[in-house]
Amino acid sequence: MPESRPLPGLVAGDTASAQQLADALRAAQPRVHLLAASVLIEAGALEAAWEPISEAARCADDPRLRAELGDELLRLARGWEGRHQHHSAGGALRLAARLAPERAVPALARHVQREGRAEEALALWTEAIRLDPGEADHHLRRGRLLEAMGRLEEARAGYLRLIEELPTATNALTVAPRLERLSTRLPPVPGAGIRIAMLGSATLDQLRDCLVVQAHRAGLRPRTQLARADQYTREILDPGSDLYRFAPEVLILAIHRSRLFPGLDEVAGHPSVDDRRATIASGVDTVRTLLRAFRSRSQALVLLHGMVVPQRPLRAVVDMVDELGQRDVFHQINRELARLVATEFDGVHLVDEDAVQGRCGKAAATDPRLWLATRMPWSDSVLMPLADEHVRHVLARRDRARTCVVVGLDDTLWGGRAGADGTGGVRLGHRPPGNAFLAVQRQLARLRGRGVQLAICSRAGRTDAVTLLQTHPDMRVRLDHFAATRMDCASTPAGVREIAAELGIGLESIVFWDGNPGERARMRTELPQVLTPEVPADPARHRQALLDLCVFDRVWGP
Amino acid sequence: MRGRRQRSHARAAGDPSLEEQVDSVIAASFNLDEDELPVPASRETISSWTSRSQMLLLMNLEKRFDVCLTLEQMVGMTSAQRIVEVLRPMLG
Repeated sequence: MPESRPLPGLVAGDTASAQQLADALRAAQPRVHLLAASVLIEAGALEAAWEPISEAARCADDPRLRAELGDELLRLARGWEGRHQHHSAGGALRLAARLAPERAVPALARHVQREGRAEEALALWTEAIRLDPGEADHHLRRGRLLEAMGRLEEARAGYLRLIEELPTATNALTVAPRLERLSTRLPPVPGAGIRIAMLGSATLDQLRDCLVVQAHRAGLRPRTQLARADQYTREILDPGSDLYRFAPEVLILAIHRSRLFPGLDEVAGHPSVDDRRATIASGVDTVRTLLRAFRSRSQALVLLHGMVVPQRPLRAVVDMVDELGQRDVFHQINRELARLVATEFDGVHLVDEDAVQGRCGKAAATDPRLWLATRMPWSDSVLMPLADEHVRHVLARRDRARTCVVVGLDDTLWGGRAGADGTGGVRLGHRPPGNAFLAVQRQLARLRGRGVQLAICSRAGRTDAVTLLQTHPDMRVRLDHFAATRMDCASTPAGVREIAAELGIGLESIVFWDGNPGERARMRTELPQVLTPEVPADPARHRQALLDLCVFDRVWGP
Repeated sequence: MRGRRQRSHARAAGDPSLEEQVDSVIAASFNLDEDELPVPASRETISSWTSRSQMLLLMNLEKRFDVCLTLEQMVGMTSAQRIVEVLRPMLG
């Protein structure tokens, strides 16, 4: 029998060190159990692995260890699933969901759903979204489940929430067919239906999907019709075409510059200035002919894409000194198209695709692989903003623009709190960080200049706020700029309701702009008709966020 | 659809195999459950596998596996098996 030796480093009587060692050994125990379980799972001894792993779970406090245990339990559950031991798998998943919810709750939701317990699965998917709202798969699976349960309006709302969280083209392409399918099963919404036809010289399917999604976000229920690429002339000139049978309310015409202005886009030689002018006139005349033919048969709103100015002109640096260089050519074409639609047609809008591409970054506006593979002219970075631009025009034409911005005060019109900080203490002025709030106020003043009403709804105390509004030297929006005010509000949704009544406008005309996330959440829940956009956490980004709100456009006559 | 999928490539324990991950992306792209995928999963066996949805599949594959596909790889991805054959060497 081996002789018992004292542990290295331990001196007899040193109880403190002994206690320290004992604590360390106890702390290591769960990790030892985890290691044992891991070895057993790897060997396929799943039942034997359960005891050490559940033992480890009982005393695992360290977050990293809990995460590792969660992963191991997921492996164990997968093993049991593979052997059709669903009950055991469920037990492992439930334990994993307690230890590492973000990873394990979705797995448990899938398991429960396969077992046919729809309500429980739905609750788990909802929890999975709460834990990780940026994971598209959770939203999509929850939506599919709701569809299967016949809860169609909730499914629709769920898909749209995914787009609010992650407004990417990929998500839009996934969600669009589902929204279209749901639209056929949901009761119609009065005034929301809209028929949109699309014609162009390239593959428009992806743009159509993004348009469907953006239209749903704007409260519309679109039906779309898409002609094959390059069929626009036939569709417009033939009175018996599918286009006219569809009787669109909106026609989107996205024709590439190479089709309308051949010779200006790609040239083997170098046409003379006179030839270039002749090509411009001829192309504009083609557009005129198409629009006249269409207008003779339909009063639909036409959204005509302007030409994109090439990022790299054919003659490179010489282009700038050319009498009518390629950049100049396409700028001139856009001006002539704008004049054409403004002077000769009613209900034809020019869509400034060049500006949209510029905002997204022209260098990445086209994915050459997608163009060569499928003639898809826009990369995913452009698709959603371009579709948004279409919807902007549609809403403007339908007079569904928002006409009133209701703002909060503290951390919204100025930084800090009027009551606590006073005129000298709040952040507002020409120096940072107060200049961020000054920029917002200037933007609000511009909106007011465009006819948008301003109003205040805030919990801030009236006396302090009014003093600040009247006396602060850098205040750009004064008290008399606001058409209605509600301060000292116990409830901002109630205040907004009163403002709508006072101004005689509907809630769907109002945008609520408040830097406080709690107020925004309350408004969204209690008054979903009011548009409550996200306000970035950093005030430096407030003005841009306000500028990006494309909901104030209106079309005032010719 | 041709019958329900037998998960022959599922391992008893361990992380999801590449085949399973590809199945998952294909299912999500074509709005199907993994269990609904036919064997073999390909353009010929999945009716919703159109050129329109193919684009979505490719975008989802790039995002999921953090890879950038070439044009040649893109046009060749017409079945789950072909996708796995392309991805495996890229993922190492």
